Amino acid sequence: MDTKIHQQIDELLAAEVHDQLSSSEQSALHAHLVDCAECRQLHKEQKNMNKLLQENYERENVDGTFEQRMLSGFRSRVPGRTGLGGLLANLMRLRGVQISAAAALLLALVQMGHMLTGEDPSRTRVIEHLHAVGSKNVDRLAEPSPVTEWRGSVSGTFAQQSNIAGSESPTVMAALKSAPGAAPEELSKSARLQSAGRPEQRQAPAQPVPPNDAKTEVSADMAESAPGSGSALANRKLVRNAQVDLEVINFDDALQKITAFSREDGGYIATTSSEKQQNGKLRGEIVVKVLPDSLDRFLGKLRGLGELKNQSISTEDVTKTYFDTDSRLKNARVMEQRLIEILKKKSEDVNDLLQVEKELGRVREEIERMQGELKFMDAQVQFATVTISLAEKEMNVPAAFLLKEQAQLSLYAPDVEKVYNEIKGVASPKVQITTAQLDRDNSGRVSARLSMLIAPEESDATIARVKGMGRVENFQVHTERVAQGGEGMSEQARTERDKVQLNITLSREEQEQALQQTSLPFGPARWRRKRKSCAVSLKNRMAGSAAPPSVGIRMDANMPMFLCAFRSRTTPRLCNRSIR
Amino acid sequence: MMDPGEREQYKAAIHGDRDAFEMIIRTHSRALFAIAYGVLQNREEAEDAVQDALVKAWKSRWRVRDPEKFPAWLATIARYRARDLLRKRRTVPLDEQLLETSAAEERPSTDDSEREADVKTALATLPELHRSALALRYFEEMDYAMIEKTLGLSNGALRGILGRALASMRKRLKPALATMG
Repeated sequence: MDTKIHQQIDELLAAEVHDQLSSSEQSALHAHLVDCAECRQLHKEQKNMNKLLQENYERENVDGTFEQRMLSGFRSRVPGRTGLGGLLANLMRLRGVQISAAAALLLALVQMGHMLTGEDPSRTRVIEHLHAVGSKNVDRLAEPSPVTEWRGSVSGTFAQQSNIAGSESPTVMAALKSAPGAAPEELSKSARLQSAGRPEQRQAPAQPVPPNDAKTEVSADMAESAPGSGSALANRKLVRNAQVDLEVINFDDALQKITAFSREDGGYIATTSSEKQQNGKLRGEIVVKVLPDSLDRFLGKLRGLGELKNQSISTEDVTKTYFDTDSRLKNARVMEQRLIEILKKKSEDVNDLLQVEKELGRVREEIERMQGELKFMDAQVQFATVTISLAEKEMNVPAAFLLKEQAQLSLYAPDVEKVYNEIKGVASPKVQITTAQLDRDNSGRVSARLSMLIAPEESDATIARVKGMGRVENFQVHTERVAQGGEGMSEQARTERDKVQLNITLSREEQEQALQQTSLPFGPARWRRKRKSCAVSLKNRMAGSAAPPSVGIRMDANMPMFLCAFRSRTTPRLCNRSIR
Repeated sequence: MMDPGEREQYKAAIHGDRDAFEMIIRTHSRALFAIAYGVLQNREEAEDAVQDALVKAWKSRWRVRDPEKFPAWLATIARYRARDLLRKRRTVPLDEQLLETSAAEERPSTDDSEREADVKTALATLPELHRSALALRYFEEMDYAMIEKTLGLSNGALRGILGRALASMRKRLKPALATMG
């Protein structure tokens, strides 16, 4: 081993100063250097040599604006879009286009021949093959074409050729197909239009493309592309982010698993936040940083945690911004150096010095800002950010239901005021009277309205007690179930009764007694029949009416019934109307 | 295996995507400069060579069939362009030219400047491939595997090349190295 090291000392020393030795090689080399004085001397020289070379290349290296210079030089020497001719020339350089163009030309010639001779094209085998190639290409573009009816079976060789032809070939073929016999200008125009559409196709992988198409492959590549694995030559800066919405059984379990997953994939949990809902379910957000290469694997693992509601992945290419900032930073550093040199020259003029100091301060500030930007971008590129929104299952189940009861009670009482005061006397900590109003109208009749809120446990007893204070004319209860903190139904949720609202209307009983005293006098049989029906309808009206008896009714009750019957006989409607 | 995103970029550039090509200029031109400098040993000329090579690469990009070979192809163009420039100035031998430039600068002849000139002269005697490898290593601080890929060398060949290059430099600069302590 030792002699081997001695023989290879040049290589090993070079690799050593360039930090390219493995740790075992390094220790073997150092062991040899301890023993071998000759190699030790070489090692020392090598280090000095390395230093000299470093100094030399540092002096000779290009400055920070090099890339910009190259770019602007390129832009000035190669102006943007070339004309139509240039584009066609570029197109024709591609092998695929060459093959397609040759095929198209041949086809056009054959077509022309047919037109001249009037021969049926479908009988010729060669043409069938040619059309097969053509129609396959047209298929790829999904463009309706009159040629489709000629489609024959695709022969092996031609199919292969059309595959080799690549993505450029359909444009020219389709152009020829869609405009057979068109003037060359028209042809080139349509080719240009189609080729102009191509970049959009490439940038929109969602667009349906036949599976054999090369473009599909490309978009899949794009989707799977990840930074980091690339070489230093093309160190693209890609920022990858993902957003995942998950529904899980248990929040804490999921959080533990996510922590474990992120560790496996060389990442960490950046932030977590959770919030307990009224119904006891947890909802939260976890931000995880993982290595961009393992992002896809990590997302795959996440799916196992629960039901995936939503997922989005985005990739942002910041290469351009990064390198632009980098070059500006290098420029600023050069500037800083120059300013420092000016300061060192010790100018006599204090004003100049101050000016330079000020400028130096500004440049340094800019350097720091740009360094910060680069650091930020580095951090973003180094790790992919995954934002996971977690929600426990049945997140929206209501916490409880509230039963709201509202009761309407109409009471008749001989002495309204007395009952009114009695009802007011019911008030207690559990029975709260909200409104109480006693009305006396022009004719001296008294009526009252009361509203009270009754604690649920007391409601039945209180309502029964109030009912007993007079004659119940009407009693209605309206119940409503209101979900709290969610929606829908749930078996586990409690149901609570809210305070019962009781609205009472009180009115005097005497008016109704008048109706009950109504007696029917006699008359001729013809009238009697009418009277009877009229009285029945009168009584029905009176019973059904919640309103206090009106003047009209009192008159009816006391008036001679034949009048009523007479009226009803002559104008039956009038009778009804008067009761009403 | 090449990164799919990178491959896609080369492919787009070959198909005439100018933005993709400009991105390649941003990311690759320093490596191309190192290769050209390895041939020419002169910064200004190397820059010109890279500029010419980029324009030429854009104009003949359709020649590349396999996108994976795009960087190596770019490196070849830069190397050939640099050799063209070298041939043009061959009327003046490199050593003399170096002496001329150092004389023209009229700097006080210190140990440092003498040593700088010595290093340059020693570098000039190395084969072109060795110089390019050194330039990639010292300009770009590339690791050995990357340099091998860029220069189209086989795996592990670079150790021998750089070992020989540095050994030859050591021999030429032995007196200077000894005085460095």
